[in-house]
Amino acid sequence: MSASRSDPSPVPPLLLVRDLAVSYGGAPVLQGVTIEVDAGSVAAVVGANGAGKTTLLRAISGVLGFHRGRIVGGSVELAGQVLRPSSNGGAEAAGRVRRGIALVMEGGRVFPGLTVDENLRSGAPGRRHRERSDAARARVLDLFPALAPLGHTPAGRLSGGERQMLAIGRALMSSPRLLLLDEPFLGLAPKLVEQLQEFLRTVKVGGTAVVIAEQSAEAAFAVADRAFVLAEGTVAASGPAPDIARRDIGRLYLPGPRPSSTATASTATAADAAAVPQERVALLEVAGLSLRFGPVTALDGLTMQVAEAEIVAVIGPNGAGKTSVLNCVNQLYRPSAGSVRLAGTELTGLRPWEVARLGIARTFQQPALVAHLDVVGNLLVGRHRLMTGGLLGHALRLRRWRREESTHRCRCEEIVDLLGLGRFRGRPAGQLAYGIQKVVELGRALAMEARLILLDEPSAGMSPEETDQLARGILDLRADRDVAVLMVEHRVGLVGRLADRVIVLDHGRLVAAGPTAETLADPEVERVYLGRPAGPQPEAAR
Amino acid sequence: MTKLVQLVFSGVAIGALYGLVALGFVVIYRASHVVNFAHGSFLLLGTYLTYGFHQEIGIAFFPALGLAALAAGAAGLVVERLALRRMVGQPVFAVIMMTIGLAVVIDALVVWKWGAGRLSVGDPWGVSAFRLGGDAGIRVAAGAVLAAYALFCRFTALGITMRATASDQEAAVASGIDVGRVHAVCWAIAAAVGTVAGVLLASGPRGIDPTLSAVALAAFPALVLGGVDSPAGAVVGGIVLGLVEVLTAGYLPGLLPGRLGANVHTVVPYLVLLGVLLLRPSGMFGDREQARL
Repeated sequence: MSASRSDPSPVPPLLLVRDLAVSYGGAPVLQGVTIEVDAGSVAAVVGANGAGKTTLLRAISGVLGFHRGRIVGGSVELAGQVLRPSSNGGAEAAGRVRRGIALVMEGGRVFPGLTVDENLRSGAPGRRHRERSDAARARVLDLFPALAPLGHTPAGRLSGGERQMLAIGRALMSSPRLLLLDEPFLGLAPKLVEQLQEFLRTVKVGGTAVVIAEQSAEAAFAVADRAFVLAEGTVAASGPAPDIARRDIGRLYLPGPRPSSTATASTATAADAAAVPQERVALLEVAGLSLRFGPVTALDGLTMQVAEAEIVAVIGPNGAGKTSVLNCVNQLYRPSAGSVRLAGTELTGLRPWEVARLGIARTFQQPALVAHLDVVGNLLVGRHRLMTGGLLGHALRLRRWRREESTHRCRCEEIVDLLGLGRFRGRPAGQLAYGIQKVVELGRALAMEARLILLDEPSAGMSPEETDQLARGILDLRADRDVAVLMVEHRVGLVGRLADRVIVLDHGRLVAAGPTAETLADPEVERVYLGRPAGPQPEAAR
Repeated sequence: MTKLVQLVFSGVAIGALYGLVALGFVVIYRASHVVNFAHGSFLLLGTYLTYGFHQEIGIAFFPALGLAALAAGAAGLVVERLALRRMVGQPVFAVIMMTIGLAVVIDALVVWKWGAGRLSVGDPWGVSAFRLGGDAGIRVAAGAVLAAYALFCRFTALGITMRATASDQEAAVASGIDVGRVHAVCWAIAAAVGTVAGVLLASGPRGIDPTLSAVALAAFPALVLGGVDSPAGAVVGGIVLGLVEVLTAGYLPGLLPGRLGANVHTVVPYLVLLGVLLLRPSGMFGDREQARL
């Protein structure tokens, strides 16, 4: 694909980042970064959280000023022309969109109050010609047919996957020459990941250059021509993507091998596979659970159980209602029908905080931390329900309460060490990279000493090492304190490694359930969820 | 019964005006999260400009109003460009202080040019060919402006970019929306809408004097009642406020003793405000920081 790279061509590359240095308020984030991307090619920028991937995309797209970042050295060139930073952040980014650079931020950032159509229209600002913007819209809907019937739906009601499609679609409305994608595969079901990869292959045939910043290098390397490995703000390695994937440095950032999922298979042979194995005690019992938003049925008569100290994964395509299950368990949503019990106690009708007090902790797809508190502070928030001293006692700093607080602090420090968060200990949570925030959020759930932890896409946005650390943390925790886990997760590898049982949803209904290995091998599950013929996935190095 | 109907009608008229004034705050707050304490002064400036164009230069009333709205809008644009844009990213408190400073400056300029005395715009809404009758005219004019704003937001490209900016500024910047320009446009719209509101307030017996800028503060409960970031909320909040005020002024003095009864209508709107805020801290239509979880 990039065979022509050997003959030196007089045409400058579409994107040339030369010796770029960026700092935020004096703190250097990027140093001496040089990257070249030709028209019609895909470049993957991989690296751990905090390596500076997002900052690089911000510098290219001109939104750095919005984040109080500054280019302190080097340059960004588009087709041979230097893009000068301007003092006016808003105008700078707008100018670059007009020149054909479009950025898709991580996490499917759409405008929730605007409809899908309005979101798309806002992606082509300054487009006076209605028919040209209509043509661009038709192309986008052609690429993402799932969005077509949703034109008048507020974007806030879309599922995670639909949002990601909409965010990419909005960027395409300006017909970019250079498309910058920040973690585009984050939280997408395998089927959608493949669709997106397919889309990227078509886009580059049309001459568009694409830069993908990704933690999960596997998905990016499948479509990338060249790869750049970023580590602590510098390019640690670069070269043709397959070479990088094969080399040691590349392996560092690649996901571990998919474990043969037989390793964790449970011995259950219960008739109703969604129920817990007979010899175990059900901790969470969900019966006939339905959830409707107006005409939309998110969950339809779901019955399932989680045993004490059991890890259960809920999988299914985007929009299947996976997150809704978690939201109904902790009563963020009021189920339309059915019951949810924790160790026999009915949860429906309780307030979310009452459910939390009964011992159910949860994490969110988008981390919800107290931005100005440091990591330990956020964990202490999680221990709130365990603190006995009243407000007055704490305010007066009586000795007993000081002792209590230091006990809690110790426990939090243990969790910080368990999750490897030591070097972020004193930083305000709002400043941490997305993946780190997700680990802190898990830490907060651990700090609650919960009996059941609900995890919503715990690995999304995490590098493979972090995912590995997280997986070990979850297993240790279960072994240590008999905590049960109900998780929504897309990475089949992680599901195979962690889950005792798997529950497969599609359109709010139970499609299949059972021990992890058997269920993942079920042809029906392959069809609905994995979207590929049965058999192990092609594996990268290691 | 007739008394009730009368009171309801005039309550709605006053309320529509409050709503119009509150809309000026909402437009700017939504775009830039700045509470513009100079809004009352832009309203004052626009009203005096209308007076100047109409009475001093002799332009017909409606063209004069249009010109004044444009001029006030231009003033809003300039102020945003010269002063507010440099404050992006500065502490909210500093920005608010700046708007208070602006208010003082604009008020002083108006007094310097036109004096502090009471002037009359006459009864422009009753011009013979256009006799709608006091209250009705106000309702129609306020309704027309509000409807125009709603249509603008929903259907024009600029309106959509304004809503996009209100929704997620960072994503708007990344989508190539020139957020600075959107802010400027919002300041212009707010000043122009304020001009119409000011002229409506000043027409009829009230006349204009520099205290007119204080009505902006009287519209504050409407703003908070409806939700600072909701245009629809501003209108509904305004009408609720107007009704409460007029109805309490109409009925309560007879029911309460002496001095308490005579002034109670100025207090009741704030009691309603307190009640609404206790139940719904973001106002009736405010964004409750909703997130899909």
